[in-house]
Amino acid sequence: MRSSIVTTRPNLISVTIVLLLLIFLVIELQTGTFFASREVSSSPEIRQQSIMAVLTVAGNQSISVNSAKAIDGATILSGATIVTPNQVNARVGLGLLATLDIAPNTTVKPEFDQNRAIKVTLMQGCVILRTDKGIAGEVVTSGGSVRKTNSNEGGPLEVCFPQGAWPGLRIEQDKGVGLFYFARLAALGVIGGRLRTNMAVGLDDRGSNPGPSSP
Amino acid sequence: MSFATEKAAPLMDEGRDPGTAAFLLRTISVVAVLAILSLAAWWAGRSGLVSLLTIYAAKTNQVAAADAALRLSPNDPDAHFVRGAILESKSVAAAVEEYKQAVCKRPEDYVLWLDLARAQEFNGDVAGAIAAASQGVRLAPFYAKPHWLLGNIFVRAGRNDEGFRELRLAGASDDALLAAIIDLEWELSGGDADFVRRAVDPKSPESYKALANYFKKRNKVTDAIEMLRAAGPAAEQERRQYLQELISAQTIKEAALLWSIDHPASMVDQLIDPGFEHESNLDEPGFGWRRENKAGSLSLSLDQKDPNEGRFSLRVDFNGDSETGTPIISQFILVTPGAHYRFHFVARTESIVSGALPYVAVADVANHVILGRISPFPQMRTDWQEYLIDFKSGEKSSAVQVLLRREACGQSSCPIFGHLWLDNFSIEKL
Repeated sequence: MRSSIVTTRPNLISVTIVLLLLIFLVIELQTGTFFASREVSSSPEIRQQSIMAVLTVAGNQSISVNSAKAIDGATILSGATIVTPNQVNARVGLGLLATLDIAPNTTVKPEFDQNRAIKVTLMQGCVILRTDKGIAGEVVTSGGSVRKTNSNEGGPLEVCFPQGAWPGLRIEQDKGVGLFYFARLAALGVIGGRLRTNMAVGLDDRGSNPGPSSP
Repeated sequence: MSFATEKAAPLMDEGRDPGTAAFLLRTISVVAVLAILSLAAWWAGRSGLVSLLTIYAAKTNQVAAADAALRLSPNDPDAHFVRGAILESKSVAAAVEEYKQAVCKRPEDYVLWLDLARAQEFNGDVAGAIAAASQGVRLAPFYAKPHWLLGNIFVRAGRNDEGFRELRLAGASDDALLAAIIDLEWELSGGDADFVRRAVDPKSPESYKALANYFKKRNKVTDAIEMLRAAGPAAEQERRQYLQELISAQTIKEAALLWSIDHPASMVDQLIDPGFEHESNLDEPGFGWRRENKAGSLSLSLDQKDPNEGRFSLRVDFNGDSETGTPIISQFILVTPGAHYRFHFVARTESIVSGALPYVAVADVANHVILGRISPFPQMRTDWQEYLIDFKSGEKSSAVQVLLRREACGQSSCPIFGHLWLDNFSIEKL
């Protein structure tokens, strides 16, 4: 009897220790302490943005995002105020969920959330909002009017405020063609640059490694 | 004659062979040249036609034209690129393949790599996009755009540390991008100025100034001042402008902090140059003596003759009309809120004639309420006289303004003539 107690007690202690360790590990892993602690110390807190949009602007042109100059490839966060200057179109792409084409001389604030809802506040100018099926999109103007996309069909929603036509070079309304517009402009830029270079010096030196003096 | 004929024949036979050979040589040469020219013409024509078709395809969105260009020159990177651009509207995946062909044909072109990266990210291939943009960075390490694109892709992929590192390089290459980079980091951090400063890791006056401008815009006054301090002499103009803005906004305590970068610190309960012993720029915003009334009829000078103390006193000459509401000269003083003070100075006058006589007052900077004042200066000639103003600073006010101004005038024009000397100002906390 005594010997059995002596032999079972260490087993019980071991099992208890293992169980406690397991519980501790599960809790720590769930809270992410083990993995996050080093990151927190080296990297400051960052607000998690589940959805980030991509800005597309043709060529070397730039627009204003939150009053700062932004060029092609910029990250657009929900709630950013976007202003396009004269003769500069822009596009805000939310992956395959939606795209927002922005005409020149337009001020607009796109907002998007994890509930697959996109709200565009148009202060001035023209926009075309395209959403994928199942995405709720709406354009609200400063004048108070609200227009919504058909979430079953998607499709483009063109809105101008104050009422007017799309200024300057128009982005076609057919789905997808608008995207091509930017790629096409980029292509023309690439080809044009090459042809000009070829004509000028007979060599294509665009691909060479630029020096620090000419960024 | 026959001799000549006999002798001539072999000569003619001997000459025919070289002539024929030369003829043959010339013919072959001509044919070769013609062949080379034809080939060159064909080559040039084909290249031109390929370029023409490629541009036509890009302008008209016709994939058939791009296909024709590629049939003529399957290795033309531009034709592949344009074909990819056209296909992008219908199938991003197909476009990516064309872009890959383009970079294969011209792998040293960083622009093509960046376009491939953009399309790959749009197609959901983030790893491929990062790889392509990284190649663009390797090809053009001193250009801003490759770093910019790679940094943004990293950030969108949630790899913020790498993203901010690339964006720092983009900002170092192109100052104009700094504001957008700072704004992105500000938004991602939920408005954490410390985080933004660490993420930007400023090294140049331009980057310090960009941070200062951004913090100003976000009303992070202390952070903006620190950045303007770190920017050094290159930001002197910006500091002066911001100082003016802070004073106009009556944020005097912060203005004093900014002022202390370029001047001796403005201490609480102390005046700067209270005895007018030093020349100073009265138009400079800040905590020294300031001339606010710009009327030409008012003249201010340091007078060596008979000062009350030290080497100089301030002489004010009145020579005609001037606005009565605007202070002639003033100075901000940092004070303890809700404290009792005694303000002391000396003055003498000579032949002052006006319907709106001058006086000295102490005003609360926050609300412009007059906390204390003296009676108007006497019109007759006087010797140095002592003046005292007892006042209590506002409960929430951290600064007062001592000012020389004139009484209100009921008429549209209210000229003033005569002379006034001021000296030996001091303030005492009771």
